Amino acid sequence: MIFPLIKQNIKSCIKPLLIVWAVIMMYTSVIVYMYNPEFSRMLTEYQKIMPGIMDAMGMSGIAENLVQWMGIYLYGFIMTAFPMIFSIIAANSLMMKYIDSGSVCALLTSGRTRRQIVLTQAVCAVVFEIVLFALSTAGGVVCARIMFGGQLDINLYIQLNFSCMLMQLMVLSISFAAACFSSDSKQFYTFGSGLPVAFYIADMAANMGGKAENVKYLTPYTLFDAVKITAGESAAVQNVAMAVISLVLLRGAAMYFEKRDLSV
Amino acid sequence: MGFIKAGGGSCRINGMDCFEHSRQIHKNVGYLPGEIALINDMTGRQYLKFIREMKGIKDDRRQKYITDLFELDDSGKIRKMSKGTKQKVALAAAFMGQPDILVLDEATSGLDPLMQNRFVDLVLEEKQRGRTIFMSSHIFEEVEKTCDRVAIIKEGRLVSVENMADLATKRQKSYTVLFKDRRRAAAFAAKAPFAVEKVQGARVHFYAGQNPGPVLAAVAQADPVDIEIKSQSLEELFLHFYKEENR
Repeated sequence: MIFPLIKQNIKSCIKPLLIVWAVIMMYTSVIVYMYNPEFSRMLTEYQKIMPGIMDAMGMSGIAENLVQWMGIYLYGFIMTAFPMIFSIIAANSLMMKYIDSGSVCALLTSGRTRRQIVLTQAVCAVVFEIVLFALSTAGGVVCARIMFGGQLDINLYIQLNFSCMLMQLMVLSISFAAACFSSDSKQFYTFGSGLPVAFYIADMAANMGGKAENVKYLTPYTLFDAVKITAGESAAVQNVAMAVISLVLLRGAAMYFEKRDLSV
Repeated sequence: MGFIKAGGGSCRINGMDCFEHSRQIHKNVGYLPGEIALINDMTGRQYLKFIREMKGIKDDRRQKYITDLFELDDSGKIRKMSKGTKQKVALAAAFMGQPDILVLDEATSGLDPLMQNRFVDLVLEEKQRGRTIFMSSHIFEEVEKTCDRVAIIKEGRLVSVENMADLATKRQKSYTVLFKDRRRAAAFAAKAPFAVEKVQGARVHFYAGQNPGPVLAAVAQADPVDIEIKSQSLEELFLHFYKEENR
């Protein structure tokens, strides 16, 4: 690990991380505030009126407790979309920016190996993602504690966020791999943000059910099922699958970066 | 510099393959790229500190010496710097580690004539310290003042590798002779015992060996009005190589 580079990475990513976290906290606090079993029944009526839209956003089902409420109304869109934005920003700041601008030359001529450089960037990206989810989880627990005392099942809530984090690490690894393979920003945005967005849209389509239900096999996002986790079902297999996908993508990206030609 | 793999042949520095052993090589090489690409979010000072930390250089005195030499104001954001200022930052980054080997690509690009002279002084100083400097340049004066050996490249291929001392002996003198009229100029050009470069009106221009004696004797017989003699510059010698290659 290269400590001067880690310092620089923190400077690059701290602002977007805090901004995304602030947005997540805003929505988390609002959703927690709105928790009300009566209100849940009203939202169920909305689901009957607009089944397509609500299903696409992952906002379907009846919440019987606070963690299920949060699982339905936060983890279908907010906790999928906003960390995805951060993942793309992180991959761009930590890898693509250097390659696209040519300033990767400064890193490569510093007497460090390509392996040290790419592993430092990959580890930093993963750690920043973990920090984002740690802060979001802590913030959610605090909000729930303030507004509803001990009603939140913290164990389930942590499991929920852990699985969501693994899903976002998959997104991050797709973006990071795109950065390692790309020669310019255009290629990066096509694959590094295009693919995660396409997968997300496929997940939305699969949520709507019907003829689109089979689309769920085309997107890794379906490995994360907030409703099942908050119902107490195990997500161990899915978690392992998401972790393996992330590791394979990151390792493959690092191996390619070590050997690729860089036009500097 | 280990950015791309060789398509054929080999490339080594200190006996080490440039791609496979890039890390070991760069511990002892200062590199200045032809296209400067710094980290735009930083100030010049932050960038130099970052590079120092990346390279493990603890002593910043050499960096300060070079920034003072080039009168570099490194406090501003790199993205707002002029081309010349960025070049100075890159020069500081290349030289501050006091590497044994310097690879400099168009080092004075964007620098004013005063700073170009300072660069020449810096290179000569580094030479005195025993550094090996490998530089590319289109400024012949810069090459003449600093280099011991010159490689001439045309269309991506090596045309010639010469010692500067040998090149000096190969240099010819340039003669421009003015006659009374075109007829006399043409007559001289037709009978001259050396190759005539060009005839412009009443002027004849040609190159001949370092010894002016026989040339002056031949010119004197043709009753010239005026004559101008100067030593062939490296640029003219370079262009001569290009012409010879084209024949």
